Amino acid sequence: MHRKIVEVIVRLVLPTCCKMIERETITVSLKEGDTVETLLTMLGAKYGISWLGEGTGVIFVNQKKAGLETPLNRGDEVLLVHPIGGG
Amino acid sequence: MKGGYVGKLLFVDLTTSSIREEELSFDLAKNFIGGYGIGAKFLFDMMKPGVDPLGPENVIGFVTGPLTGSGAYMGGRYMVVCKSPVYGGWNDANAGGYFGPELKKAGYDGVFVTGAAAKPVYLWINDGNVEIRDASKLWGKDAKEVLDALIEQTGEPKLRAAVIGPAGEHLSLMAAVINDGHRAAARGGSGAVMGSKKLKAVVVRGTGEIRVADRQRLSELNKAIREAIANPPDNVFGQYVRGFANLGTGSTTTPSVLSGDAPVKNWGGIGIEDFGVERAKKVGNQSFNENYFVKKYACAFCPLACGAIYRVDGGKWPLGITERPEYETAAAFGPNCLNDDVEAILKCNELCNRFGLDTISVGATIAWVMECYEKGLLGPEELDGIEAVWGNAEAIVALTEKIANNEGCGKILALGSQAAAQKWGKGYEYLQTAMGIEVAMHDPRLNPGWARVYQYDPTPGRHVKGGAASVPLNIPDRGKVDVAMASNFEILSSAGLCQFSMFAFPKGAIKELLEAVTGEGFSEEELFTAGVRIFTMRHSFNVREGLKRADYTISPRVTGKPPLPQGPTAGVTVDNEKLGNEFYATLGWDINTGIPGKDTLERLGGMANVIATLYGG
Repeated sequence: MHRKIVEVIVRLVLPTCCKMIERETITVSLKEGDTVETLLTMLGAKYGISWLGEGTGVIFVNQKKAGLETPLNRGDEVLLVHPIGGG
Repeated sequence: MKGGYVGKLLFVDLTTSSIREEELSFDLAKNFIGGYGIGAKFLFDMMKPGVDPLGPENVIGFVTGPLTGSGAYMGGRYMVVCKSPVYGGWNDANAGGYFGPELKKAGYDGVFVTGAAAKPVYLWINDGNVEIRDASKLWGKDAKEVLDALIEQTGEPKLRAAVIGPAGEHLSLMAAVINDGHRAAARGGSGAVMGSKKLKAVVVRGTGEIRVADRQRLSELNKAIREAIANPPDNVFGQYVRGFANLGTGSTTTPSVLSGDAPVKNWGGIGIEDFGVERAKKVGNQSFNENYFVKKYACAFCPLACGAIYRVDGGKWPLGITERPEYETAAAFGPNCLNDDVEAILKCNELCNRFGLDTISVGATIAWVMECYEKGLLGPEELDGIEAVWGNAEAIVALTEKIANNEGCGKILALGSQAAAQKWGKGYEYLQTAMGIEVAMHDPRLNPGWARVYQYDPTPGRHVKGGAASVPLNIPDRGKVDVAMASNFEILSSAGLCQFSMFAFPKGAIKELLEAVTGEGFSEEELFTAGVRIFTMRHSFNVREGLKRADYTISPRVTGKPPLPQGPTAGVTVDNEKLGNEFYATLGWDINTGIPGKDTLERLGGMANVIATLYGG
């Protein structure tokens, strides 16, 4: 079945030292039914962020904590919070 | 040894005004490295159990490590050791800046002060000449003003000093030892111990050379460290390096608030819900830097330079030149009080530096006040009319000023949240403490290993103590990993290194630096054992004080009892007792009493004094 393209907004809360993504907010096109895991795989391939491996951050979809299996819909705001904490 | 150590320790009795030197023996240096290790060994031997922490029999030490001032990168630290007036057990705290290297250039690896002076004094150590001098005209000055006054009194513009501000003079249990105007050996009430001895400052100036056994090797190692910092790896450690180099420890404040790492609303709130993304960004260092940054600040021999000088002109609290708050400070006065007023955080940071206060304990105590206020336990009548509503920036600054000036409700709050609860007879259920001291700003509900560190380190409630704080719970042999990481921290700290060397250095660099500087070989096994020995000596001080495992308490909310209903750490309860069991068992300590086994102490070596005390003979 052909799946529709949906756009989600990804907002990154990273220490600004992380040069992997220059912009704080990016819009990503996914297919209907894609999950957070799909998104993270895409971001990983594009920007080299290993969100699925060591140091996986906290993920929110529309301000609610989400898991890898959480489905994404048009206009969802995904917040990726880097796990680092220090000092 | 061929380098690193000066080879001399200084002992001062302020009651009798006596001053003596002692040589640092090879065995002691090899067994206890420096800093916390040598400090714990001497305090165990010099002190009797049960002495009043604010009485003349307490000993306060200022101790460096072999790498301090040696030229080894990040080797600028010294450690303050004493018995804590907060929880009546072992205390140590650690600071960077430039005091530690200068103490060694002045002729000593460490200074131990006992007794109490009849009137305010300072210790003037000038190239091996030691004097106890009158500090009557310095008493009352803040930790920045006093530096200028000391330069005037001694005529020595290049001096360095570890001082107390008015908070230490007032015996605030949150009083810190401050050097260079803003570097703090903050926690556990060391500033009050100095104040109880009427010791305003330890002032040092030296031109001595700190010997290095193999300068060529040290230079090569430093080059490798510089390159590692300039080109950090693309992993979590590398992100720390980039973040701290660019924005300091507060580079992580925003993500910490949202991930659940930073406590919110006296540990009862949820970052993403109660504080939100925009406010979390506001209290992060990116936002601070855009408005107030003047220049970077580095401690001695540090290529990372995680500090910064700021300037605040205008606004509600103009400060002129000030310093960038650390993560802990921003978290304590910020989200933990539901406060997003950046200039209030800067003002509180400046007040704490000047008056000589521990920003973690002050911020956490105000968060406790705010919760008590919300619950109707404290009101304007107890708080001198201050309306301590969550997020009220004026109230946060006003309470900090009360504490700093030791006036009104500040006289009670200056003793910390637990003592205030006891004084007012209420609010116990809202204390967020470990053994009575406010816990630091990393949440065990996100990284459960913090619970073990906060609860079972001999200095409770600290974020600067070693252990598997951020390591997942389900790894095999977790106790072993926890002990290995605790040992590693003891070594790098006692050596005189900044804890950030842990992630900034290439693998194996700490051992190699120690060998290059001292000219002495250290096997991995020897270093691991030395780290465990130091940890055990610190702990044994507490055992001798009668502290049993059951005395190592932690507030239930900190470990998710009950768990938060929502947010990233929803439903998490940390099994801190299990973490403690694994840690104690791995160390060879009785898991019920916390007493180290005799055979364990014998295997460690160098613990004859502890064995004799705990087991006789």
